[in-house]
Amino acid sequence: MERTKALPDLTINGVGQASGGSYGEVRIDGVSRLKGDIECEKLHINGVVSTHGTLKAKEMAFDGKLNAGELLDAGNARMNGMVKVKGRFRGEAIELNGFIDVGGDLSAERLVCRGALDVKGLLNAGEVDITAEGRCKAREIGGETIRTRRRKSGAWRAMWGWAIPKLIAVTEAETIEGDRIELEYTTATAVRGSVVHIGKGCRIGSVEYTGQLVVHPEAKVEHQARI
Amino acid sequence: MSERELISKKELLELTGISYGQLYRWKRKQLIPEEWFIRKSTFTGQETFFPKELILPRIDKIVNMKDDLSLDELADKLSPFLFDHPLRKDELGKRNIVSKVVLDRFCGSDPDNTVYAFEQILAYYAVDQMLQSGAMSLEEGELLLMMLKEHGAKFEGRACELLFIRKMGVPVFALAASPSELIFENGAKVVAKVSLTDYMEQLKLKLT
Repeated sequence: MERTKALPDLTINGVGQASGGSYGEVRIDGVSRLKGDIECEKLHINGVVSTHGTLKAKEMAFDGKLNAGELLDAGNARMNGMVKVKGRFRGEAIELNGFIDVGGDLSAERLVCRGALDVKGLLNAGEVDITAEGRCKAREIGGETIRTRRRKSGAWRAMWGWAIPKLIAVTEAETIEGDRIELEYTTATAVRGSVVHIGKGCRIGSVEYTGQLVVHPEAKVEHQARI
Repeated sequence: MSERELISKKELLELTGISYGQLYRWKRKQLIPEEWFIRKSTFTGQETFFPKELILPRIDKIVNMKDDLSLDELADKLSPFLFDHPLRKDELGKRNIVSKVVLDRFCGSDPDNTVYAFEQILAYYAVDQMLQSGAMSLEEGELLLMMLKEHGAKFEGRACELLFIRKMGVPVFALAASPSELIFENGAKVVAKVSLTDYMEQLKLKLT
């Protein structure tokens, strides 16, 4: 899109709301509700924001709680806190820390996630890097490089996990498909890829690989097949 | 409408020699439309299938063109969204995009330097293709053109099929979102069923 003149900026401090539009820079501190579709170059949010339509930004920095509607297009984003998207979540390079809940598909070129994740659809990213601190769940994970890990857990954490199952740091998916896959503490029905490393604490139904497969002695794989 | 032949993801990858990573990347770039990913449950759990006659040529096209074009450029060419590429009337004839018969008949009154928008070119192109297939007469072409002009825009950004039905010699045209399943009464004959999205892709390749 060619910009003929500079787009206006939007700033909300405190409690407010805005209807949609195209903006240059949007800065929100406090509690606000965005009612229409918003498109902007840069988006800074501190606080609680809820949107109904689509929210598109080329760059996004966010701390707090976000409730997004149909579509969240975050571009290059760094997000801390709770993010809930009803529809699809799209972006280029996304760094997520906290609780993320996506109703549709989540796609990005590069996704670094630390915390808990719940994707009802397909998680599709060129590079997926998940560090589980709570339950990370997706129906499917697909991409070029997929890596899942768990953060070191202490005794307290184990106790909390026992009380609240959502806090058990594991990754769960029906299928995981990619070129290079490295898993740790992951439960999946099927894993398919060319170079597959199954690490500690994994429980996998079947692994299909074309190149190489390494299975950690503390992992459980029911079937494995080279094709 | 007959059941479409499906191909599973695994078979597709074996057949074409592409990797999971490539497939997902192309999906992300919207080189492969969302509706082609059909999820079905099998005895091994949920699996993804594709309509075979659509996905194979598409993969072929991507593999062949990806060396010359970036993925984003490719996405522009293959996406069902209309793109902006107006062209002059005499160019259309000269570059053999629309035949002279069609141009003379349906826009004979427009001067040679009239500039047509992509949607208009697409309408003429569709009429031209249908005429060349021999299924349709020139008078019926007029009906088709009118319908495309009036309703073509409603399917912008979505995959769409053009149906040509004849009953007792009376022609009827219809646009349907694809994939859709339509059943007609016995007396009606589906003369032609073409994908407008395919026409769009062919046209984009011809224009650029």
